[in-house]
Amino acid sequence: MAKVPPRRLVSRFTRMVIDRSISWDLVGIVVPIAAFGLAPKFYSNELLLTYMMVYIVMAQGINISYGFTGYLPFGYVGFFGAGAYAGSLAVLDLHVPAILGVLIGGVGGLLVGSLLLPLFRLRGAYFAIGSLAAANALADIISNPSLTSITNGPYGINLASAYSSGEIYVSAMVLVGLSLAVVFYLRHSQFGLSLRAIKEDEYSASMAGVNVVKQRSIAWLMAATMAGMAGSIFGWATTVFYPSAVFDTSISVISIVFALFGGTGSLWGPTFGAIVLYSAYTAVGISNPQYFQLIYGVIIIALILFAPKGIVGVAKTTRARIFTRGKQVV
Amino acid sequence: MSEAELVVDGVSKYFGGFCALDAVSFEIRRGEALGLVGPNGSGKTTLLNVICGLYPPTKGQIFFRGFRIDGHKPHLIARAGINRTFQLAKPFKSLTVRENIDLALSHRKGDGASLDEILNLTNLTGMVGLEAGNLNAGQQKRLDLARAISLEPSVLFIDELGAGLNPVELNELAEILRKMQYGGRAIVVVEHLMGFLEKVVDHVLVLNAGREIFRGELRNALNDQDVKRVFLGDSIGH
Ligand SMILES: Nc1ncnc2c1ncn2[C@@H]1O[C@H](COP(=O)(O)OP(=O)(O)O)[C@@H](O)[C@H]1O
Ligand SMILES: [Mg+2]
Repeated sequence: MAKVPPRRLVSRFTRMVIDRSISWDLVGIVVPIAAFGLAPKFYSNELLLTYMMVYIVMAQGINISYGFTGYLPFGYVGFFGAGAYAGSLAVLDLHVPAILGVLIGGVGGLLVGSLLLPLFRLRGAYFAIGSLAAANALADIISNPSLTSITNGPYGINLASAYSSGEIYVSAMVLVGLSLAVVFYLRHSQFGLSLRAIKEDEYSASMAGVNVVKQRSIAWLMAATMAGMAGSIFGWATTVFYPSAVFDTSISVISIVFALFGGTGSLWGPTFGAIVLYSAYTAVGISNPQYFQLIYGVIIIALILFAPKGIVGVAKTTRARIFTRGKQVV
Repeated sequence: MSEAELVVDGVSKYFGGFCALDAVSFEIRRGEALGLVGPNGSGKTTLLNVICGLYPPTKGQIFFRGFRIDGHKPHLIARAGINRTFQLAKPFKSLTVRENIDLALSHRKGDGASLDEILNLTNLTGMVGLEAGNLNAGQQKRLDLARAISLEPSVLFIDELGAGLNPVELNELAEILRKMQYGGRAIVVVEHLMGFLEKVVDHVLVLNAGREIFRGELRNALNDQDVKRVFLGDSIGH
């Protein structure tokens, strides 16, 4: 017989409400969305806010891939570019509404993600480099002049006919909400638990009954779909773009830095990292992108070595130290 | 006599040209406890790895309840009812004790022990909220065992669980293992410590350099010339 008496369910619910990390994570979904809802009242550059949201989604996507399964995809931009193109071409050629184009962008990311599943045969740095090579190859194919009739090749995309700042902004907010909901789910579900176990030790996880290949693939495809949608919103907001703009490796690099800086595995970290660093990035101005690549390269290495859990991790240990001072730690 | 739960038939494993297991065969029934003994590097862990699906055997076949399982995915083998602990305990360190066990419980097919019962049996009740990384070595080993039994395996392999434990902990462990055997499980205990083995098993399979050199009652093994030589050689080697 089913053995879940109603009492159990109630206690499970109270445990959820009482559990500080769950409430804290719920706040981590609500606050950013409310903030972006109000932000245009105080700050007029909606395009910049939209880009910031796009980067939050990208940083959360890196969070899913790296924070939960341990794979760092330097070619993450491949899904972004695929989404930008899939969404735009659907709007231009099939005349679908741009919002539907965003979903189709997600499908574009999903398809490329499925094609790249064999990359998981590679480990560590090989995976990172393999995914980068795949993204560059995709960019080369799309920008190939012989495909001009399909992708418009090197001449890029013009979405001026579909532009609608309000729709774009709201879509970006919805996508941020969606990405946060996915990460919330990963942090508080059996599925997320199995991913964290896989990250620690694949064989051990399989001896706990986890279907490693399946679970990891699902997480990867979630991350790919999110990047596809983010790319398509980016393209929609940018209006006119060339292949090089949506397949730019620095988009991967920046997303990785944002996620690592804030702290992967957490819900707040990547959001926080994206908001703080993207603001800094915009304030400083991008006069010399090559230097930024270099600086970001150094930041990535430093973060992985010295603060693998990012700002959120540092905050947690500091808080733990303050609260346990003088007490016996078990 | 009931049918064998697990049949290992002529299993060999090569790593490159190196033969780590050479045509090893054995059977085990429910309620039996078998000791798997042999000097370091004799292939004990490799045998567990092959049976539990980390890699396929180079030669030979493995049957579980009459079904061939060699070469199957490890999670399917675990869900079917074969499990193991690790020589170096590998609980998921960033997960709490509860999460470690819940994860395995969520993949169990039929009914079985509850979280509380498993905690109780492995003596981890007070630690349920702690991250596994904060447990001491003995506790981590018991958590590894808890993870393994959560899937209610009918065949359970224990890889050198006793190493590094003090006599009190060893007794405690022997007690736990005996309870499991009476629960109708088949248990294979890989162990160096003879005193500990005596408390848990009566039959042993002795390996040397990947090959069976003795099979039979534990007390006879201790008088066997081949076994003596191998273990004497082993202790001189150290
Ligand atoms: N993955 C592997 N690759 C190559 N050699 C291995 C591998 N695993 C084990 N071996 C070798 O196989 C032999 C048996 O090892 P193992 O099964 O761990 O022995 P035991 O558990 O009895 O101490 C050893 O010589 C070991 O070096
Ligand atoms: Mg061993």
